[in-house]
Amino acid sequence: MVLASVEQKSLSKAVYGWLLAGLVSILFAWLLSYLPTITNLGVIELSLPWVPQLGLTLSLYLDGLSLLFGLVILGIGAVIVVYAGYYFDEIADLARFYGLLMGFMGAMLALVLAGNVLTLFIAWELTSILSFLLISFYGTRTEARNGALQALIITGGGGLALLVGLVLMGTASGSMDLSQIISNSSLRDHPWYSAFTLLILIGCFSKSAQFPFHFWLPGAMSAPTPASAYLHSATMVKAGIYLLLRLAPTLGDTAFWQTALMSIGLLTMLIGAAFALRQRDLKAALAYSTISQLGALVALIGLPGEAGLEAALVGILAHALYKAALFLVVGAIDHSTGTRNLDELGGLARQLPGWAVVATMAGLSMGGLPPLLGFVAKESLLYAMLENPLALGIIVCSAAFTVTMALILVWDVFWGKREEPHHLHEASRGMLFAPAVLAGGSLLGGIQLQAFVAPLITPMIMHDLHLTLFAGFNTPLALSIVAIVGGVAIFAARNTWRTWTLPALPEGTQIYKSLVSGVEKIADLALRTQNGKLRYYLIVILGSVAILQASAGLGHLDNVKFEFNSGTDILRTLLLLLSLGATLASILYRKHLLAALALGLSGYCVGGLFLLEPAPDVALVQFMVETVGTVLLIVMLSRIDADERERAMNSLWKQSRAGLVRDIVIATVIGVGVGIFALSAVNHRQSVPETIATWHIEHSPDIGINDVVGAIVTDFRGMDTIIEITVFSVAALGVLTILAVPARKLHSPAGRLRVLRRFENAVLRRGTVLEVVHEPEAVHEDDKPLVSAFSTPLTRIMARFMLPFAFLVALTQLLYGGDAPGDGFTAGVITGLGVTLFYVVFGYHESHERLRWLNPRWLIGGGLALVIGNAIFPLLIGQSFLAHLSFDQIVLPANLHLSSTLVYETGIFLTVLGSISMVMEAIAYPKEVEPL
Amino acid sequence: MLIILPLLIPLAMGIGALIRFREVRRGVVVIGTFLNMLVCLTLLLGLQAGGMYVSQMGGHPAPYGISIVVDTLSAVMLAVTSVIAFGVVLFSRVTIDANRERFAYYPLLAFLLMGINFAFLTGDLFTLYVAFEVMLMSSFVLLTLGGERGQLEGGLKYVTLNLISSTIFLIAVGLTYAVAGTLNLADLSRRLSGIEAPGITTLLAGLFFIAFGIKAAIFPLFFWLPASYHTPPIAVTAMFGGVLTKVGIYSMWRVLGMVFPQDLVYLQPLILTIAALTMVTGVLGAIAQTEVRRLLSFHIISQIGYLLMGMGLMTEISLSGAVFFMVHVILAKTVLFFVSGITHEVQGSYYLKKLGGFQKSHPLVAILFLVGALSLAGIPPLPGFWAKLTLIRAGLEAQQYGIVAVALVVSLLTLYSMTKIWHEVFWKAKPLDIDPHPQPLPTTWRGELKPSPLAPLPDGLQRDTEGKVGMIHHAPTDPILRETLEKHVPVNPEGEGSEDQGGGAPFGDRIGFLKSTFDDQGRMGWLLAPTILLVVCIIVIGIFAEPMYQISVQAAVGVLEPEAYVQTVLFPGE
Repeated sequence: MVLASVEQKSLSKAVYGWLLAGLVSILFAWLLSYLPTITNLGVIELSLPWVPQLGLTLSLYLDGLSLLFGLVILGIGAVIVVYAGYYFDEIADLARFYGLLMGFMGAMLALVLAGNVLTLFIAWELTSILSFLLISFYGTRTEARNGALQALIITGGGGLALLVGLVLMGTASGSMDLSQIISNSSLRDHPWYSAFTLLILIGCFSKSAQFPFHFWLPGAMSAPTPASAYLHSATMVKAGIYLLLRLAPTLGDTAFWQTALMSIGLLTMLIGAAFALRQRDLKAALAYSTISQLGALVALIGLPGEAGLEAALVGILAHALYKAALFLVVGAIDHSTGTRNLDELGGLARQLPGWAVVATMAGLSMGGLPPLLGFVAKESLLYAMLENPLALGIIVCSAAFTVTMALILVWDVFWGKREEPHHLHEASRGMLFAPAVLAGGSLLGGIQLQAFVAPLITPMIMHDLHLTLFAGFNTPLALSIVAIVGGVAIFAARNTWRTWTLPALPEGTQIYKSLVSGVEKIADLALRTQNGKLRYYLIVILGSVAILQASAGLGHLDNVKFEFNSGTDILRTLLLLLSLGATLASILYRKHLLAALALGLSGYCVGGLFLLEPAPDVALVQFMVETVGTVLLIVMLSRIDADERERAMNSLWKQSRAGLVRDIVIATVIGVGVGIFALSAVNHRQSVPETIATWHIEHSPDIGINDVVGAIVTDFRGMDTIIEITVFSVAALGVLTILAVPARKLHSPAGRLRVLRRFENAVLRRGTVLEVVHEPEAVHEDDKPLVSAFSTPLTRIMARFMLPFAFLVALTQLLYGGDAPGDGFTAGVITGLGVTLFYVVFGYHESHERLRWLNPRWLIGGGLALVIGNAIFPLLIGQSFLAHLSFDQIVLPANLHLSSTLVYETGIFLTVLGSISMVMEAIAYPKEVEPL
Repeated sequence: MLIILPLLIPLAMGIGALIRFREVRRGVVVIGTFLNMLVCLTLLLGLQAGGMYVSQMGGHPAPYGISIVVDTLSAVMLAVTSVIAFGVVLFSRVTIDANRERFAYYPLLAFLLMGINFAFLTGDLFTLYVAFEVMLMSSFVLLTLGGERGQLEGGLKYVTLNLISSTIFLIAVGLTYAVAGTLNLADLSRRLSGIEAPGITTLLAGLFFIAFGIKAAIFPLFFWLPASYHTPPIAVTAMFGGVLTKVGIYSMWRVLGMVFPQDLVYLQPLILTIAALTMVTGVLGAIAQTEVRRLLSFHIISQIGYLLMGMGLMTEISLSGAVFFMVHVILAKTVLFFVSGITHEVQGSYYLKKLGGFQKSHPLVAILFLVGALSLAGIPPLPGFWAKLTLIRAGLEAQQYGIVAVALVVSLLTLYSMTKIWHEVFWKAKPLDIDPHPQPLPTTWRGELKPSPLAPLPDGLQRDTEGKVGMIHHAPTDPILRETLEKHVPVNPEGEGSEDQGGGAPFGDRIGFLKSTFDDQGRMGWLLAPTILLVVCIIVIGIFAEPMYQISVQAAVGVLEPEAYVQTVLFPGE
């Protein structure tokens, strides 16, 4: 019963495979139906624009070459799909595999059918990605992930080279369309020729696993076997071959092309064949033998003219057929014996007779024995290379190795003896279908050469085919016989050479690994720059500024002129010096209170400078801001433990003499630099006719504000002010959140208790019993004034008196802001100072009690809303956003004007007051603050 | 009227979100960001045929008042930001804890959005500074909101270094006004092109470059970014990582490209060198990281290099590529942060070592990540590929082969780094989930909690062999529990028992359990919806690259040929 259900399940999986294969076969047949048309016409093109501005079209280019590749992709794809239906045990794995495989098939088809080099590149990259996903199909295995990553990096890196090569080539030929590039015969003479050809070759070589990039292919063998058979022997690795074949008519036939392809190709061929013999893992051996065959193909394309074309095309077909078949056989062996290791395998023919026949057939094709297609391929390879003795030597050697490999695969695994029989878990009979078809293809192709192979190749070959199974006794045949005899001899001696220890060659994988670990090491080094020290970051950033200033600064010295005109200039100089001294003092004082006061003094001096300008408005704001800033700073400082402050100050001054000098130099360069530039810039202004300020001065009475600073702040540049008060509110929110942080609250007993309660509740909700054993001690109310020394009866009275007074001042500021110094901002700061005094004198709880009506959140929200409403209102009556409206028809006493400015200023006043109150509330609260 | 809305909506949203009720706040921001997105997309669509929107604040003629200008570049930036903001608000709903929500999280987010939008809208140099102030202040508070130790440390560096940037910016604005006597960008562009002493303008350009460079996190001014971006909740990081540094780059394009073009030519070797160094250090820093948020933060820096490269080459095609890149990188980076947020929600860690198995347990999340990561690495046909292709072509045409080579190598390294995340988080089996040696409960708790011996323990706690209760290595899924426990237990970044186990998933059931409890709460939808929204945007832009490319060209031309801008802003009648 159980067996039946298992049977049924595997059957249903296989059905999916057959159905899908049917669909692929229909595509195959459809593509095949174009064969006569292609034979007659040569090429079919179809073009749709995609990103025309980048030269990218979604075009189709179907000629004999793409047709051949397309048929291989679809044909082999169909049988692989059937095989996979039996291969995977889990239906979920199968579904995922089919998804990826179909995606790959589409990408691969797009690659060979693309009529635009950029489209081709897109498909190229997609095949790399899908190959990556297929290699690490069993991603939980570490070696699968590493192999996949290695393959992706190698082919991806080559892809980038290819991209640049293609873009350069496209630029050189003036079009990205394949048809135009192919028909362009002048590319060989282009100055960029060697550059883009080299880049394209790198791309092709990396994809087609040529030396020195070959090592990714054996690493990719962690893929499920159907994927290996399909991607890593039959199709994807041939993408590079395809592109080389495609571009050979345009780029080929030069000394560079021939040398590069011949040398790399032959070298790869030899290395692949030799390395294959050293492998004990069947799939790795097959991978190396694939590398060898790809090398042969590359070398063939490197031959002058079309001498190697025919051999290359037959080679592609032959290889695709036998190598895919062999992979599938290995997959089945793995599936049924649980191992792919040559040392553990032997004598499988008795148990798997069908597989033995298939393997033998494919293996003989690989070894190049008649009458199989592999033999034809090897003969034409030798025939094409006849004029190059060195190449012939290498090919015969490699061929001999390949024969040995084929014998190992077939004889040792299936026919050779083995003592104990394997515990087989029978491979399904349907599984045999796919390799049988492929092996049958090898045989049929060999015997019926003219009927099956020739038509596929004819469209690409200009001259007559000299494909024959048996061309009489000639040199290629002789060489072939030499290779076969040699191969058998090496095979016979396998027990001897297998014990040889060969000199350890630098393996590609090793180089790749050391490269990667090198990058990782450099990366770790680069990370050292991010050392977490603020001082160091400051040095780098300010140092950059200093370097910029120093390099640009000297040229501006000419523009620096000092002129003393009047007595106020002497006053200015004094104020400047005082400000400078105060700033220095604020740095040097090691008592925080003094430093804060010195900083305040420096700010006051700047205010004084404004006053001399004369700019009373700005000066007033400066004084106010400086006052409230200093007060807040001191209040904040008073909340930090004296010991902690001491420690902070000590660590600040803990630095070497050199460091001190460096910091001083940076600071001086920046300071002096800014000074020089300011002077220089002011002197440049003379060349500019007028500043916008002139217009502001002229037009401020038009909006009923005689004070030009007020006009700018509230009207001409009112937008800035709106945003700035938002900044102010955000800052207040910031102080609130930082000081009232939950983490801080956790440390207070009350906070901890609350968290505990919440934890308990959470636990209870989950139906678990956790009891609280004992509760922490009760909350300590800590309701002392902020600075207790200030809390005397006198100050208490003063504070209560000051706040209403501050409101009164604020009111006058608001009402007469248009004509006199002062505005909503100043008004807000003044009342804010009143509130601050309250908190300083009364402490949090009492102030909170007394100032119950003062809700910072409502003040901020209300103020902002008022400002926004005021800005939007003109829009509603058809004026522009933020437009000034005055209501002169409403006559008020005491020379008051009613205008939108008043509303605006009121909004600002409320926001600023709210923000300062919020900050004070946050600072003053002893332990925690009520959240919003 | 329309063009003032991207300013007003966030401001109104910020005020509205100060209201006390939680659901009101959430509703206000979701609706607000959605409206903002509609408005911004409308603006972008309205500019398809070219031209720009101009509005003078208070009705004062330019250059005397403040001009609000939306040209194609601004519209692109506004549009993509609005999408991100909407996504972030949705994502915040379940990832932001109640405490942060109570402490003005949403108003701050709204004010931040207002600042960003304002920076894109303004046609005035000083207003740009003001916009930077809003951004700085609200981002700083958002960064430290929650007051965890790491946050405060990161926030301190963030605010200090950014204040330096602001100071330099302000100095540069002041000097510019001293030289040119105007602050309107159009007016500046007109006046400074005719100035006699180019030395001072080169200096100004240099100062702006440094000021914006700090904001944009270029080499060697980027330290504040990796120091702080991994500390706040992931929704905040996503917003920052997606958009914030890009405002710096936008300002560079706008101010340097439009006002100081001739100085840019002079500075080109410097800019290209810095671009290359930014790309390389960024990606190397990323490779060295094992914590997803830090890793992605370094990638932000690396990508900034490409944006700088587009400006350094200063050709139409290069800047178009950079605009395209900008759109792509904002979307892709936010997606990646969202995905890391999702993995954190499910498995409770940001460390690559402790995560795993998502490809099996959450295949949809795997696909979302893959789209973002591959786009970032520049794999076709995703938008990252188009952008890089354009930049590379521009580099080749300008014969700057060095920067092209660097861009390509960094691209490969990006792919490598993304693959690392993919392997660790998605493919690797989830490392041993239950710590064989559970951490003891924090001392403050041990005396206070005594579990009944036979009762099942809540998620996040377990018994060791002696029956003592300890914490499981990863945080539990219950938000309140997790929040509480995280606060109390020092996070041990290199915890034991997190080696790659290889082979099967011994605790497959556990993953399933986590998934089910998590999904049952209906939270996954709030996380997936915004991620899917952004991924769909990425795919659509990738497939319909042509319209996006045309917009990019239009935006680039607007910067490189400011005549139209000057004309429209200063002389609207003519």
